[in-house]
Amino acid sequence: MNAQVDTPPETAVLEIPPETVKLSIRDLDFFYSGKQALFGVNVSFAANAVTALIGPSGCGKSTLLRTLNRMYSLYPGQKATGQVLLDGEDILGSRVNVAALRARIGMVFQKPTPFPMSIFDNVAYGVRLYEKISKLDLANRVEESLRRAALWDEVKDKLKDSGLSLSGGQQQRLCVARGIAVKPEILLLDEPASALDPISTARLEETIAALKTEYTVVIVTHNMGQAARLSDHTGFMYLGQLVEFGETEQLFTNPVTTRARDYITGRFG
Amino acid sequence: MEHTVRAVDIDLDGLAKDVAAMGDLAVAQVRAAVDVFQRHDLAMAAKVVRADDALDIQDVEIEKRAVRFIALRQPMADDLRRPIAAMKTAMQLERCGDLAKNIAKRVGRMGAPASIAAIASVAELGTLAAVRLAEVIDAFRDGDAQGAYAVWLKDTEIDERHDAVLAQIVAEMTASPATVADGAHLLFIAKNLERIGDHATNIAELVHYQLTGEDLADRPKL
Repeated sequence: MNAQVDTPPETAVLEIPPETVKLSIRDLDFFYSGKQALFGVNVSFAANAVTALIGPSGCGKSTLLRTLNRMYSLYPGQKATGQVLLDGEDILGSRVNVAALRARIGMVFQKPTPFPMSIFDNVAYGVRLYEKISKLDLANRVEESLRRAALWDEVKDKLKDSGLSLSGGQQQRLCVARGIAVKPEILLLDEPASALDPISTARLEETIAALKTEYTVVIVTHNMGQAARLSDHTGFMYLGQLVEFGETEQLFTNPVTTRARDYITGRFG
Repeated sequence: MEHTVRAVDIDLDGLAKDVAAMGDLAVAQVRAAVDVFQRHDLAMAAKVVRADDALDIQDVEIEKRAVRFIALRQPMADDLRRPIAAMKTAMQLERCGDLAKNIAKRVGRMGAPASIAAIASVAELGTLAAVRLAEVIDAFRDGDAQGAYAVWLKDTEIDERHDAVLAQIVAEMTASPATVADGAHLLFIAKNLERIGDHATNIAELVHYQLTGEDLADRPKL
C-alpha cells in the first residue's frame, strides 16, 4: 500500500469472466453513410446482469445498442464491421436471420411505442408472429409478461382497451411486456425512462431490476443516477470510443480514466 | 477541470477552506493546552476550555453544509468523497478540541504546579501530537496524498513516546508516593495526547481516501 497516484490510463475496459459472457463485441466499427461513429469497440456484456451505457449526446451509445440487434440494417448506408458474438455466434454475418435475431434480442425505445391496438394484442403481437400456440397459452403468456413488467395489476380489468389509452409510464411498461413476451434472451433499452415522471421511472427501474434474473439487459441512459441504481456494469463512451467499462460501483465512486471521472462529476467539455 | 455548474466548485472549495480553518483552530487549542499544562497557567486554561465551543459550532456547521451539498448536488466519485471527508475530518477535529479542553480542565484540577519530572516528557508528547495534527491539516489544505501518507506512517512514533512517558510516570509514582496524585493526572493527560495523535492519523486516512478513493489499510501498530 502506498500513496502514489499513478497517471490514469486513456481507456480502461474490464474483462468479464468468459463463463458469464452473453454478448461479446470485437473490433466493432460503425459507419453512417461513410462517416465513422464507432471506433474499435471491444467489450463483453455479462448474462443475467444489467449493463448501462452512458456518455454525452452523440458519443455512440445508442449506435452501439442498435448494432446489437441489427436495427441499423433497416437503413441503407449504415454499416457495421467487426464481430458481435451472441453465445459465440457472430450476429453481424450476412446469413443471420434478422427477424429471428430480434426475437432473441428485444428492444424498448426512448418514446413508448404501443401499437394502435388493445393492451392484450400489443403483448400478443410478437408471440403470434413467432409462435403457434393455443389461445389459453397465449392468454397465459400475456398475463405472465404483464406481471413481469409490473403492469398486470393496473390493466388486468381493461385488456381490451387501447394501448394508447395508458399513461406514458404504463405505455413504456407495456412495451417492456411486449418485448419480453417473445421470451428474448437479451433486452435492449434505449433511454426507456426519459419521458417518464419520477414515480413511473421508479416502477420501470423496479421492473428492469427484476428482469435481470432471467434476461441480459443493456440500457442506454443519460440519467447517471439511473445507471448507478440499476446496473451491474457501466460503460462510458465518448466520440465513438468505449473509454471506460467496469463495475458500476467502481465507475461511480472511483473511475479509472480522467475522461470518465470528468464526465460523471460534471466537469466535461 | 472546473465543474460545469460553478456553484459546485464554490461549495466544495468553501467547505474545504472552512475545514482547514477549523484544523488550524484545533492545532492552536492543542498547543495552548500543552502550554497551559506546562506553565500551570490557570487563567489561560479557563480560556482554552471556553474556546472549545467554537470547534463544536464549526463541526455542526460543516456537517450541515456537507449534508446539504450531497442532498442538493447529488455528487459522484471525487465530488462525493470531498463532502464526506470534510464532514468526517471536522468530527475528528471536534474530538481533538474536546481532548485539548480535557487537558486544560485537568490543569485546573491539579491545583499547585505538579512536582514531578515527567511533566517535561508529557509536554514533549503534546508538542509532537500538535505537530502531527498541523502536518495533516497542511496535507488536507494542499490536497497532498503523499503528505497524508507520511503522517499515517508516523502513527507509531506517538504511541512509542506515549508508552515511554507512561513508564516514566509510573516509575516516579512508585519511587515517590507523594507524586501519585499528580502522576494520575499526568497519565490521563498523556492518554489524551496519544488520542490526538490517533485522530491525526484518522484524518490522514480521510485525506488519502478523499484524494485517491483508496483506503489506507493496516495501520502500522506497535
